[in-house]
Amino acid sequence: MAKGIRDFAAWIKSQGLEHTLPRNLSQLEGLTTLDLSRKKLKSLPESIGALQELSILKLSGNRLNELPDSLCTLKNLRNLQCENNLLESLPEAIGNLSSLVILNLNGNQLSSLPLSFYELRNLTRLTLAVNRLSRLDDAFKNLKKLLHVSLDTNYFAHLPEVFGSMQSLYYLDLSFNKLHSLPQSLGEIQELETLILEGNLLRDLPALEAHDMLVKLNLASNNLSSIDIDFSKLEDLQILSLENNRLESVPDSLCSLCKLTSLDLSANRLKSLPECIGKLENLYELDLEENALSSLPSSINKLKHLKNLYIADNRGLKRPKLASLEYCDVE
Amino acid sequence: MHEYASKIICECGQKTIQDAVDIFKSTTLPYKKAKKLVTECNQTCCRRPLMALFNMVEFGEIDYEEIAFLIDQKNNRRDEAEGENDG
Repeated sequence: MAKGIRDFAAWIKSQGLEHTLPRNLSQLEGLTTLDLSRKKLKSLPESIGALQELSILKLSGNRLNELPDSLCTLKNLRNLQCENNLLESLPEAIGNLSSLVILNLNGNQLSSLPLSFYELRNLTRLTLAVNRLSRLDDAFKNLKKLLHVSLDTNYFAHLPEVFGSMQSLYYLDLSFNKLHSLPQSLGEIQELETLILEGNLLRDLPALEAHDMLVKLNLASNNLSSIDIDFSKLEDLQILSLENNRLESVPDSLCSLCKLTSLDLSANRLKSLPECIGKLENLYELDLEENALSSLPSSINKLKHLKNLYIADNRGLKRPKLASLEYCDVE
Repeated sequence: MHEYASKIICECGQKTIQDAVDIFKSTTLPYKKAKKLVTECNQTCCRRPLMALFNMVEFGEIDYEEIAFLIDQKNNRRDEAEGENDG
């Protein structure tokens, strides 16, 4: 057995984690999956690099400050889970993980990414939420295979024009950053189905009309006082969240969203709703809580699929008589 | 009671982890409404530990130590941000 394997086995034993490995240590060299999640680990040994066949490595929920450099030699690693640790930086050579497809670094303390990070060209799923990142390099555009990206809860005030090359991206979460505007290249993503922009400071909304594949759009908590979107182009939209803004009205084009199942307009300043709202014939949930509505449009009675209705904290709204309604927060 | 049960999870609503557990157990509302029973506001500062706790309550197994870790991380971020604003 190679020395590195013996060293790693000895480290595992010293941590009381023998149960995470095969009983027969001769199988260690061929190990493809290692789950060390939630073991209160504060560090990993360099000998982990001896596990050259590893494909899946789970390290989430520990107290790791750094990853060993030898981890970057794991040429077969496809899935690295390292959520909720204390990583302040990544190994400089992380880009050597050329097989990596899934990388989860949510909930760490990363304030920057090494340049080689942008060489992880096979990534399809990247989650870097809840870190301290404020800058992405232009080389992010190298990651053309990305399907799912979460950059939420960081310190981004600006993003580079990198999304034009990501033609397969279907999920993008940029929520809870400091974005005042969005890159134009966002409009070039052909397949985008979910776009989450909650909790930013957006003044100018991007040209969302180009995203005719959008299924879910979240613009909550952006301090928006108006919404200048031609919703008629977003014909596949099913979930629309506009809560916690300063909207006094919403455009009539909202009523063209015939596939919409969930509409959240709560915590705004709405005094009225479009009379045409009854056209949202697939609406399942409508949240109008915390507005200034004193009446609902009569067409609301046409919402034959409406099951959940929130209308509390308005101006004396009463529960409408709708046979489909299963829950209303006002009687 | 668990050693972390009395740790404050939401400063707006001044609720402990245990308060939040009890609130989540007593309601059938979805997360976006149930969280307001804890926070009593529209702020989103404590959403990460709170959402994790809501999911744990739903799942039926609560890892108090993990929630305490997430609260500490949240508080560290807040303190850093306040330090920057002061500086």
